[in-house]
Amino acid sequence: MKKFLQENYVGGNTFGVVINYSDITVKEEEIELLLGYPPYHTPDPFKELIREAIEESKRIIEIKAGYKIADVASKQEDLTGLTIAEKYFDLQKIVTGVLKKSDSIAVFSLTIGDALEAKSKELLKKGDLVAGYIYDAVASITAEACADTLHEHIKAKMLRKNQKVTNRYSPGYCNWNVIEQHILFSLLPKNFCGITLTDSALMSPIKSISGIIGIGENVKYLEYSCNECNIKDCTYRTINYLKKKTN
Amino acid sequence: METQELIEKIGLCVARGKVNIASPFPKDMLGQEGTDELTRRALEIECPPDKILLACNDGMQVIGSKFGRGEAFVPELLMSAKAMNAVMAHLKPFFKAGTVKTKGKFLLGTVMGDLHDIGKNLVSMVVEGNGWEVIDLGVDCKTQKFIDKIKENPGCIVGLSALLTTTMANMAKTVEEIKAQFPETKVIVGGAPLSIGAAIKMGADGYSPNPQGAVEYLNNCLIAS
Repeated sequence: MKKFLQENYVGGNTFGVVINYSDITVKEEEIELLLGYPPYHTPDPFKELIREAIEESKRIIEIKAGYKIADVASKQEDLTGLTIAEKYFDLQKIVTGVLKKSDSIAVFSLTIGDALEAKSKELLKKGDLVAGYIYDAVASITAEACADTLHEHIKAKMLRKNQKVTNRYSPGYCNWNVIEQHILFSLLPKNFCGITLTDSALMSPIKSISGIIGIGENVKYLEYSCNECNIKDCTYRTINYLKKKTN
Repeated sequence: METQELIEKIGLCVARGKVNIASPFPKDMLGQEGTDELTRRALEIECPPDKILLACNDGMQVIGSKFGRGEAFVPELLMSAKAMNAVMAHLKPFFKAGTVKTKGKFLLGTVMGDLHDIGKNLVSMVVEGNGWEVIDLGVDCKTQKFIDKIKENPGCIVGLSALLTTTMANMAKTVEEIKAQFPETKVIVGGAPLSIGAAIKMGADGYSPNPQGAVEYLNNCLIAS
Protein backbone atom coordinates (compact mmCIF):
# COMPACT_ATOMS: atom_id res chain seq x y z
CA MET A 1 0.00 0.00 0.00
CA LYS A 2 1.37 3.42 -1.00
CA LYS A 3 0.14 5.42 1.98
CA PHE A 4 -1.68 5.09 5.26
CA LEU A 5 -5.29 6.08 5.06
CA GLN A 6 -6.66 8.83 7.22
CA GLU A 7 -8.60 7.65 10.27
CA ASN A 8 -11.13 9.49 12.38
CA TYR A 9 -11.62 8.17 15.89
CA VAL A 10 -15.30 8.16 16.73
CA GLY A 11 -15.04 6.74 20.27
CA GLY A 12 -15.47 3.26 21.70
CA ASN A 13 -12.43 1.84 19.89
CA THR A 14 -14.17 2.69 16.62
CA PHE A 15 -12.55 4.40 13.65
CA GLY A 16 -13.88 5.90 10.47
CA VAL A 17 -11.47 5.40 7.57
CA VAL A 18 -11.26 7.83 4.68
CA ILE A 19 -11.07 5.88 1.43
CA ASN A 20 -10.87 7.80 -1.82
CA TYR A 21 -11.34 6.25 -5.24
CA SER A 22 -7.59 6.58 -5.82
CA ASP A 23 -7.02 4.26 -2.85
CA ILE A 24 -8.86 1.32 -4.42
CA THR A 25 -8.04 -0.93 -7.35
CA VAL A 26 -10.95 -1.92 -9.55
CA LYS A 27 -9.76 -4.50 -12.04
CA GLU A 28 -11.56 -4.65 -15.37
CA GLU A 29 -10.63 -8.33 -15.60
CA GLU A 30 -12.56 -9.11 -12.41
CA ILE A 31 -15.64 -7.44 -13.87
CA GLU A 32 -15.20 -9.37 -17.12
CA LEU A 33 -14.97 -12.62 -15.17
CA LEU A 34 -18.04 -11.73 -13.12
CA LEU A 35 -19.94 -11.19 -16.38
CA GLY A 36 -18.75 -14.63 -17.51
CA TYR A 37 -15.96 -13.70 -19.94
CA PRO A 38 -12.35 -14.80 -19.77
CA PRO A 39 -10.16 -11.73 -19.03
CA TYR A 40 -9.52 -9.55 -22.08
CA HIS A 41 -12.11 -11.47 -24.12
CA THR A 42 -15.17 -9.31 -23.54
CA PRO A 43 -16.60 -8.33 -26.93
CA ASP A 44 -17.29 -4.79 -28.01
CA PRO A 45 -19.24 -2.76 -27.01
CA PHE A 46 -19.44 -4.44 -23.58
CA LYS A 47 -15.78 -3.70 -22.87
CA GLU A 48 -16.46 0.01 -23.53
CA LEU A 49 -19.52 -0.19 -21.29
CA ILE A 50 -17.39 -1.61 -18.46
CA ARG A 51 -14.94 1.28 -18.85
CA GLU A 52 -17.77 3.79 -19.02
CA ALA A 53 -19.32 2.36 -15.85
CA ILE A 54 -15.96 2.48 -14.06
CA GLU A 55 -15.48 6.12 -15.09
CA GLU A 56 -19.02 6.96 -13.95
CA SER A 57 -18.43 5.14 -10.66
CA LYS A 58 -15.40 7.34 -9.96
CA ARG A 59 -17.70 10.33 -10.20
CA ILE A 60 -20.73 9.13 -8.28
CA ILE A 61 -19.79 6.61 -5.60
CA GLU A 62 -19.50 7.76 -1.99
CA ILE A 63 -17.23 5.45 -0.05
CA LYS A 64 -17.74 5.29 3.69
CA ALA A 65 -15.81 2.79 5.76
CA GLY A 66 -14.81 2.07 9.32
CA TYR A 67 -14.13 -0.53 11.93
CA LYS A 68 -14.13 -1.23 15.63
CA ILE A 69 -11.48 -3.15 17.52
CA ALA A 70 -13.36 -5.51 19.80
CA ASP A 71 -12.30 -7.99 22.47
CA VAL A 72 -12.63 -11.66 21.71
CA ALA A 73 -13.31 -14.28 24.34
CA SER A 74 -10.53 -16.62 25.44
CA LYS A 75 -9.35 -19.03 22.80
CA GLN A 76 -11.88 -21.71 23.21
CA GLU A 77 -11.64 -25.28 22.07
CA ASP A 78 -15.26 -24.98 21.08
CA LEU A 79 -15.27 -24.27 17.35
CA THR A 80 -19.00 -23.66 17.04
CA GLY A 81 -18.86 -19.98 17.85
CA LEU A 82 -16.98 -16.96 19.03
CA THR A 83 -17.74 -14.27 21.60
CA ILE A 84 -16.85 -10.83 20.33
CA ALA A 85 -17.36 -7.86 22.67
CA GLU A 86 -19.55 -10.09 24.83
CA LYS A 87 -21.83 -10.98 21.92
CA TYR A 88 -21.94 -14.59 20.87
CA PHE A 89 -21.71 -15.42 17.17
CA ASP A 90 -22.77 -18.83 15.95
CA LEU A 91 -20.03 -19.68 13.47
CA GLN A 92 -18.78 -22.72 11.64
CA LYS A 93 -15.37 -24.32 11.97
CA ILE A 94 -14.34 -22.80 8.65
CA VAL A 95 -14.43 -19.37 10.37
CA THR A 96 -13.62 -20.18 13.99
CA GLY A 97 -10.71 -22.37 12.90
CA VAL A 98 -9.06 -19.27 11.44
CA LEU A 99 -10.15 -16.79 14.11
CA LYS A 100 -9.55 -18.85 17.25
CA LYS A 101 -6.02 -17.54 17.81
CA SER A 102 -7.12 -13.90 17.52
CA ASP A 103 -6.29 -11.51 20.34
CA SER A 104 -8.92 -9.06 19.09
CA ILE A 105 -11.35 -8.68 16.23
CA ALA A 106 -11.87 -5.83 13.77
CA VAL A 107 -15.61 -5.50 13.14
CA PHE A 108 -15.99 -3.51 9.95
CA SER A 109 -18.55 -2.09 7.58
CA LEU A 110 -18.32 -0.10 4.38
CA THR A 111 -20.47 1.13 1.55
CA ILE A 112 -20.08 2.71 -1.86
CA GLY A 113 -23.46 4.43 -1.45
CA ASP A 114 -26.52 3.91 -3.61
CA ALA A 115 -25.77 6.08 -6.66
CA LEU A 116 -24.28 3.30 -8.81
CA GLU A 117 -27.09 0.94 -7.94
CA ALA A 118 -29.62 3.67 -8.79
CA LYS A 119 -27.89 4.21 -12.13
CA SER A 120 -28.11 0.47 -12.85
CA LYS A 121 -31.82 0.45 -12.04
CA GLU A 122 -32.42 3.53 -14.19
CA LEU A 123 -30.72 1.86 -17.17
CA LEU A 124 -32.69 -1.36 -16.72
CA LYS A 125 -35.91 0.64 -16.49
CA LYS A 126 -35.04 2.38 -19.76
CA GLY A 127 -34.60 -1.04 -21.37
CA ASP A 128 -30.82 -0.80 -21.51
CA LEU A 129 -30.41 -4.27 -20.09
CA VAL A 130 -26.74 -4.88 -20.66
CA ALA A 131 -25.64 -1.49 -19.37
CA GLY A 132 -27.79 -1.97 -16.24
CA TYR A 133 -26.27 -5.40 -15.68
CA ILE A 134 -22.73 -4.11 -16.22
CA TYR A 135 -23.22 -1.17 -13.84
CA ASP A 136 -24.41 -3.62 -11.19
CA ALA A 137 -21.35 -5.83 -11.72
CA VAL A 138 -19.04 -2.79 -11.52
CA ALA A 139 -20.74 -1.77 -8.27
CA SER A 140 -20.20 -5.24 -6.75
CA ILE A 141 -16.53 -5.36 -7.71
CA THR A 142 -16.02 -1.75 -6.54
CA ALA A 143 -17.47 -2.54 -3.10
CA GLU A 144 -15.19 -5.58 -2.89
CA ALA A 145 -12.20 -3.41 -3.90
CA CYS A 146 -13.06 -1.04 -1.03
CA ALA A 147 -13.15 -4.00 1.35
CA ASP A 148 -9.70 -5.04 0.10
CA THR A 149 -8.37 -1.54 0.78
CA LEU A 150 -9.89 -1.41 4.26
CA HIS A 151 -8.50 -4.88 4.97
CA GLU A 152 -5.04 -3.77 3.82
CA HIS A 153 -5.30 -0.64 5.95
CA ILE A 154 -6.13 -2.63 9.08
CA LYS A 155 -3.34 -5.07 8.23
CA ALA A 156 -0.80 -2.23 7.87
CA LYS A 157 -1.93 -0.60 11.09
CA MET A 158 -1.68 -3.84 13.04
CA LEU A 159 1.70 -4.65 11.56
CA ARG A 160 3.06 -1.55 13.32
CA LYS A 161 2.04 -3.28 16.55
CA ASN A 162 3.64 -6.52 15.42
CA GLN A 163 0.26 -8.10 14.90
CA LYS A 164 -1.11 -9.92 11.90
CA VAL A 165 -4.61 -10.21 10.45
CA THR A 166 -6.74 -13.09 9.17
CA ASN A 167 -9.02 -13.30 6.17
CA ARG A 168 -12.26 -11.37 6.45
CA TYR A 169 -15.59 -13.08 6.99
CA SER A 170 -19.09 -11.73 6.44
CA PRO A 171 -22.53 -12.85 7.64
CA GLY A 172 -24.24 -14.77 4.86
CA TYR A 173 -21.02 -16.47 3.75
CA CYS A 174 -19.04 -19.49 4.98
CA ASN A 175 -22.22 -20.92 6.53
CA TRP A 176 -22.53 -17.88 8.80
CA ASN A 177 -26.23 -17.10 9.07
CA VAL A 178 -26.91 -13.67 7.61
CA ILE A 179 -29.39 -12.91 10.42
CA GLU A 180 -26.33 -12.45 12.69
CA GLN A 181 -25.74 -9.27 10.74
CA HIS A 182 -27.96 -7.75 13.43
CA ILE A 183 -25.55 -8.81 16.20
CA LEU A 184 -22.60 -7.54 14.19
CA PHE A 185 -24.26 -4.16 13.64
CA SER A 186 -25.13 -3.94 17.35
CA LEU A 187 -21.37 -3.74 17.99
CA LEU A 188 -21.01 -0.66 15.78
CA PRO A 189 -22.38 2.84 16.35
CA LYS A 190 -25.93 3.35 15.06
CA ASN A 191 -26.01 4.08 11.30
CA PHE A 192 -22.23 3.60 11.15
CA CYS A 193 -21.07 4.51 7.62
CA GLY A 194 -24.68 5.42 6.86
CA ILE A 195 -25.66 1.76 6.58
CA THR A 196 -28.97 0.52 7.93
CA LEU A 197 -30.33 -3.01 8.21
CA THR A 198 -33.75 -4.33 7.34
CA ASP A 199 -35.43 -6.97 9.55
CA SER A 200 -34.23 -9.59 7.07
CA ALA A 201 -30.63 -8.39 7.57
CA LEU A 202 -30.35 -6.71 4.20
CA MET A 203 -27.97 -3.76 4.21
CA SER A 204 -29.00 -0.46 2.72
CA PRO A 205 -27.34 0.77 0.53
CA ILE A 206 -27.24 -2.72 -0.98
CA LYS A 207 -23.66 -2.33 -2.22
CA SER A 208 -22.24 -2.50 1.31
CA ILE A 209 -20.03 -5.06 3.01
CA SER A 210 -19.69 -5.87 6.68
CA GLY A 211 -17.69 -8.48 8.50
CA ILE A 212 -14.95 -9.42 10.92
CA ILE A 213 -11.18 -9.78 10.70
CA GLY A 214 -9.09 -11.58 13.33
CA ILE A 215 -6.05 -9.77 14.77
CA GLY A 216 -3.20 -11.31 16.74
CA GLU A 217 0.42 -12.33 16.88
CA ASN A 218 -0.34 -15.92 16.02
CA VAL A 219 -3.07 -15.63 13.40
CA LYS A 220 -2.63 -16.57 9.76
CA TYR A 221 -4.00 -15.29 6.49
CA LEU A 222 -5.09 -18.18 4.26
CA GLU A 223 -4.51 -17.60 0.58
CA TYR A 224 -7.64 -19.47 -0.51
CA SER A 225 -10.05 -20.93 2.01
CA CYS A 226 -13.10 -21.64 -0.15
CA ASN A 227 -12.00 -25.23 -0.74
CA GLU A 228 -12.87 -25.90 2.91
CA CYS A 229 -16.49 -24.99 2.31
CA ASN A 230 -19.20 -27.19 0.83
CA ILE A 231 -21.24 -24.33 -0.66
CA LYS A 232 -20.21 -24.28 -4.29
CA ASP A 233 -22.63 -21.68 -5.68
CA CYS A 234 -21.53 -18.71 -3.56
CA THR A 235 -20.82 -15.10 -4.53
CA TYR A 236 -17.82 -14.89 -2.19
CA ARG A 237 -16.34 -18.03 -3.73
CA THR A 238 -16.85 -16.47 -7.17
CA ILE A 239 -15.15 -13.24 -6.11
CA ASN A 240 -12.28 -15.12 -4.48
CA TYR A 241 -11.90 -17.16 -7.65
CA LEU A 242 -11.86 -13.97 -9.74
CA LYS A 243 -9.15 -12.47 -7.55
CA LYS A 244 -7.08 -15.62 -7.74
CA LYS A 245 -7.41 -15.63 -11.53
CA THR A 246 -6.49 -11.98 -11.96
CA ASN A 247 -3.58 -11.79 -9.51
CA MET B 1 -35.87 -8.61 -49.64
CA GLU B 2 -38.30 -11.51 -50.03
CA THR B 3 -40.76 -12.27 -47.25
CA GLN B 4 -39.02 -15.49 -46.20
CA GLU B 5 -35.61 -13.86 -46.33
CA LEU B 6 -36.87 -10.99 -44.17
CA ILE B 7 -38.32 -13.37 -41.60
CA GLU B 8 -35.09 -15.37 -41.47
CA LYS B 9 -33.10 -12.14 -41.05
CA ILE B 10 -35.29 -11.17 -38.09
CA GLY B 11 -34.59 -14.56 -36.49
CA LEU B 12 -30.87 -14.10 -37.11
CA CYS B 13 -30.95 -10.61 -35.56
CA VAL B 14 -32.64 -12.06 -32.46
CA ALA B 15 -29.99 -14.78 -32.22
CA ARG B 16 -27.19 -12.22 -32.64
CA GLY B 17 -28.81 -9.53 -30.47
CA LYS B 18 -29.02 -6.91 -33.22
CA VAL B 19 -31.70 -4.47 -32.04
CA ASN B 20 -31.60 -1.64 -34.57
CA ILE B 21 -29.38 0.09 -37.09
CA ALA B 22 -27.86 2.35 -34.43
CA SER B 23 -26.94 -0.52 -32.12
CA PRO B 24 -23.16 -1.06 -31.89
CA PHE B 25 -23.67 -4.77 -31.13
CA PRO B 26 -22.67 -7.15 -32.63
CA LYS B 27 -19.61 -5.54 -34.14
CA ASP B 28 -19.77 -7.47 -37.43
CA MET B 29 -23.33 -6.20 -38.02
CA LEU B 30 -22.48 -2.54 -37.48
CA GLY B 31 -24.67 -0.26 -39.62
CA GLN B 32 -27.06 -3.07 -40.53
CA GLU B 33 -30.76 -3.05 -39.79
CA GLY B 34 -31.89 -4.84 -36.65
CA THR B 35 -35.10 -6.44 -35.47
CA ASP B 36 -36.75 -3.05 -35.03
CA GLU B 37 -36.46 -1.94 -38.67
CA LEU B 38 -36.81 -5.42 -40.16
CA THR B 39 -40.00 -6.23 -38.24
CA ARG B 40 -41.54 -2.91 -39.24
CA ARG B 41 -40.73 -3.66 -42.88
CA ALA B 42 -41.96 -7.23 -42.61
CA LEU B 43 -45.31 -6.12 -41.26
CA GLU B 44 -45.59 -3.44 -43.94
CA ILE B 45 -45.42 -6.12 -46.62
CA GLU B 46 -47.88 -8.21 -44.56
CA CYS B 47 -45.60 -10.98 -43.37
CA PRO B 48 -47.65 -13.23 -41.10
CA PRO B 49 -46.90 -12.18 -37.50
CA ASP B 50 -47.01 -15.79 -36.29
CA LYS B 51 -44.19 -16.66 -38.69
CA ILE B 52 -42.15 -13.70 -37.45
CA LEU B 53 -42.70 -14.90 -33.89
CA LEU B 54 -41.68 -18.44 -34.79
CA ALA B 55 -38.42 -17.21 -36.34
CA CYS B 56 -37.75 -15.13 -33.24
CA ASN B 57 -38.33 -18.14 -31.00
CA ASP B 58 -35.83 -20.07 -33.12
CA GLY B 59 -33.39 -17.18 -32.71
CA MET B 60 -33.82 -17.24 -28.93
CA GLN B 61 -33.27 -21.00 -29.01
CA VAL B 62 -29.96 -20.46 -30.81
CA ILE B 63 -28.64 -17.98 -28.24
CA GLY B 64 -30.07 -20.09 -25.39
CA SER B 65 -28.19 -23.15 -26.62
CA LYS B 66 -24.98 -21.15 -26.98
CA PHE B 67 -25.44 -19.90 -23.43
CA GLY B 68 -25.98 -23.49 -22.25
CA ARG B 69 -22.75 -24.58 -23.95
CA GLY B 70 -20.79 -21.69 -22.41
CA GLU B 71 -20.26 -20.04 -25.81
CA ALA B 72 -22.35 -16.99 -24.94
CA PHE B 73 -22.82 -15.10 -21.69
CA VAL B 74 -25.48 -13.06 -19.93
CA PRO B 75 -24.75 -9.82 -21.87
CA GLU B 76 -25.33 -11.59 -25.21
CA LEU B 77 -28.47 -13.23 -23.81
CA LEU B 78 -29.73 -9.81 -22.76
CA MET B 79 -28.98 -8.29 -26.18
CA SER B 80 -31.02 -11.07 -27.79
CA ALA B 81 -33.82 -10.45 -25.31
CA LYS B 82 -33.69 -6.76 -26.17
CA ALA B 83 -33.80 -7.55 -29.90
CA MET B 84 -36.76 -9.84 -29.27
CA ASN B 85 -38.50 -7.16 -27.21
CA ALA B 86 -38.18 -4.79 -30.18
CA VAL B 87 -40.05 -7.36 -32.26
CA MET B 88 -42.68 -7.79 -29.55
CA ALA B 89 -43.30 -4.03 -29.50
CA HIS B 90 -44.27 -4.20 -33.19
CA LEU B 91 -46.37 -7.32 -32.64
CA LYS B 92 -48.29 -5.84 -29.69
CA PRO B 93 -51.43 -5.04 -31.73
CA PHE B 94 -51.51 -8.64 -32.97
CA PHE B 95 -51.25 -9.97 -29.41
CA LYS B 96 -54.11 -7.66 -28.40
CA ALA B 97 -56.21 -8.81 -31.34
CA GLY B 98 -55.42 -12.45 -30.54
CA THR B 99 -53.79 -13.07 -33.96
CA VAL B 100 -50.69 -14.26 -32.13
CA LYS B 101 -50.44 -15.53 -28.59
CA THR B 102 -47.82 -15.52 -25.88
CA LYS B 103 -46.67 -18.89 -24.57
CA GLY B 104 -48.34 -18.21 -21.24
CA LYS B 105 -48.16 -16.02 -18.16
CA PHE B 106 -45.19 -15.92 -15.82
CA LEU B 107 -45.78 -14.26 -12.47
CA LEU B 108 -42.51 -13.07 -11.02
CA GLY B 109 -41.43 -11.36 -7.80
CA THR B 110 -38.75 -11.03 -5.12
CA VAL B 111 -40.07 -12.42 -1.86
CA MET B 112 -40.97 -10.53 1.29
CA GLY B 113 -38.10 -8.82 3.10
CA ASP B 114 -35.83 -8.83 0.06
CA LEU B 115 -35.16 -5.74 -2.01
CA HIS B 116 -32.78 -7.24 -4.57
CA ASP B 117 -34.12 -6.96 -8.07
CA ILE B 118 -31.32 -7.18 -10.62
CA GLY B 119 -31.57 -10.97 -10.94
CA LYS B 120 -35.34 -10.87 -11.08
CA ASN B 121 -35.26 -8.12 -13.72
CA LEU B 122 -32.87 -10.08 -15.91
CA VAL B 123 -35.06 -13.17 -15.66
CA SER B 124 -38.10 -11.03 -16.47
CA MET B 125 -36.54 -9.61 -19.62
CA VAL B 126 -35.13 -12.87 -20.93
CA VAL B 127 -38.38 -14.77 -20.25
CA GLU B 128 -40.39 -12.03 -21.95
CA GLY B 129 -37.97 -12.15 -24.85
CA ASN B 130 -38.77 -15.84 -25.16
CA GLY B 131 -42.43 -15.15 -25.83
CA TRP B 132 -43.96 -15.26 -22.37
CA GLU B 133 -46.12 -12.60 -20.82
CA VAL B 134 -44.36 -11.55 -17.63
CA ILE B 135 -46.29 -10.06 -14.74
CA ASP B 136 -43.57 -8.52 -12.57
CA LEU B 137 -44.75 -7.98 -9.00
CA GLY B 138 -41.56 -6.17 -7.96
CA VAL B 139 -39.60 -6.64 -4.75
CA ASP B 140 -40.57 -7.30 -1.11
CA CYS B 141 -43.72 -9.20 -2.18
CA LYS B 142 -45.86 -10.60 0.57
CA THR B 143 -47.30 -14.09 0.02
CA GLN B 144 -50.80 -12.65 -0.29
CA LYS B 145 -49.69 -10.56 -3.27
CA PHE B 146 -48.71 -13.76 -5.12
CA ILE B 147 -51.93 -15.49 -4.06
CA ASP B 148 -54.09 -12.60 -5.29
CA LYS B 149 -52.30 -12.45 -8.63
CA ILE B 150 -52.51 -16.23 -9.14
CA LYS B 151 -56.27 -15.94 -8.64
CA GLU B 152 -56.39 -13.21 -11.28
CA ASN B 153 -54.21 -15.21 -13.69
CA PRO B 154 -55.27 -18.84 -13.65
CA GLY B 155 -52.78 -21.19 -15.27
CA CYS B 156 -49.83 -18.90 -14.71
CA ILE B 157 -46.41 -20.20 -13.65
CA VAL B 158 -44.84 -18.49 -10.65
CA GLY B 159 -41.21 -17.44 -10.23
CA LEU B 160 -39.80 -16.43 -6.84
CA SER B 161 -36.48 -14.70 -6.27
CA ALA B 162 -34.45 -14.28 -3.04
CA LEU B 163 -30.89 -13.20 -2.40
CA LEU B 164 -30.53 -13.77 1.31
CA THR B 165 -30.75 -16.89 3.44
CA THR B 166 -33.14 -15.00 5.72
CA THR B 167 -35.52 -14.24 2.88
CA MET B 168 -35.11 -17.77 1.58
CA ALA B 169 -37.13 -18.74 4.66
CA ASN B 170 -39.86 -16.34 3.52
CA MET B 171 -39.64 -17.90 0.09
CA ALA B 172 -40.28 -21.35 1.58
CA LYS B 173 -43.38 -20.04 3.34
CA THR B 174 -44.64 -18.46 0.11
CA VAL B 175 -44.09 -21.69 -1.82
CA GLU B 176 -45.92 -23.63 0.90
CA GLU B 177 -48.90 -21.27 0.83
CA ILE B 178 -49.11 -21.22 -2.98
CA LYS B 179 -48.99 -25.01 -3.06
CA ALA B 180 -51.62 -25.25 -0.32
CA GLN B 181 -54.05 -23.00 -2.19
CA PHE B 182 -53.10 -23.83 -5.78
CA PRO B 183 -51.53 -27.32 -5.85
CA GLU B 184 -51.48 -27.34 -9.67
CA THR B 185 -49.57 -24.08 -9.97
CA LYS B 186 -45.95 -24.61 -10.94
CA VAL B 187 -43.40 -22.65 -8.91
CA ILE B 188 -39.79 -22.06 -9.92
CA VAL B 189 -37.28 -20.44 -7.56
CA GLY B 190 -33.91 -18.78 -7.99
CA GLY B 191 -31.35 -16.53 -6.31
CA ALA B 192 -27.87 -16.64 -4.83
CA PRO B 193 -28.54 -18.74 -1.69
CA LEU B 194 -30.70 -21.27 -3.55
CA SER B 195 -29.73 -24.68 -4.81
CA ILE B 196 -31.64 -27.52 -6.37
CA GLY B 197 -31.67 -29.22 -2.95
CA ALA B 198 -33.10 -26.13 -1.22
CA ALA B 199 -35.73 -25.79 -3.95
CA ILE B 200 -36.86 -29.39 -3.54
CA LYS B 201 -36.89 -29.06 0.24
CA MET B 202 -39.22 -26.07 0.11
CA GLY B 203 -41.55 -27.85 -2.30
CA ALA B 204 -40.81 -25.82 -5.43
CA ASP B 205 -41.23 -27.51 -8.80
CA GLY B 206 -38.16 -25.99 -10.39
CA TYR B 207 -34.93 -24.15 -9.74
CA SER B 208 -32.70 -22.13 -12.01
CA PRO B 209 -29.39 -20.41 -11.32
CA ASN B 210 -29.77 -18.16 -14.40
CA PRO B 211 -32.37 -16.59 -16.73
CA GLN B 212 -31.90 -19.19 -19.47
CA GLY B 213 -32.61 -22.01 -17.03
CA ALA B 214 -35.92 -20.32 -16.17
CA VAL B 215 -36.80 -20.14 -19.87
CA GLU B 216 -36.00 -23.81 -20.34
CA TYR B 217 -38.11 -24.75 -17.33
CA LEU B 218 -41.06 -22.72 -18.63
CA ASN B 219 -40.77 -24.15 -22.13
CA ASN B 220 -40.62 -27.67 -20.69
CA CYS B 221 -43.82 -26.95 -18.75
CA LEU B 222 -45.46 -26.13 -22.08
CA ILE B 223 -44.31 -29.43 -23.59
CA ALA B 224 -45.54 -31.34 -20.54
CA SER B 225 -48.96 -29.66 -20.49
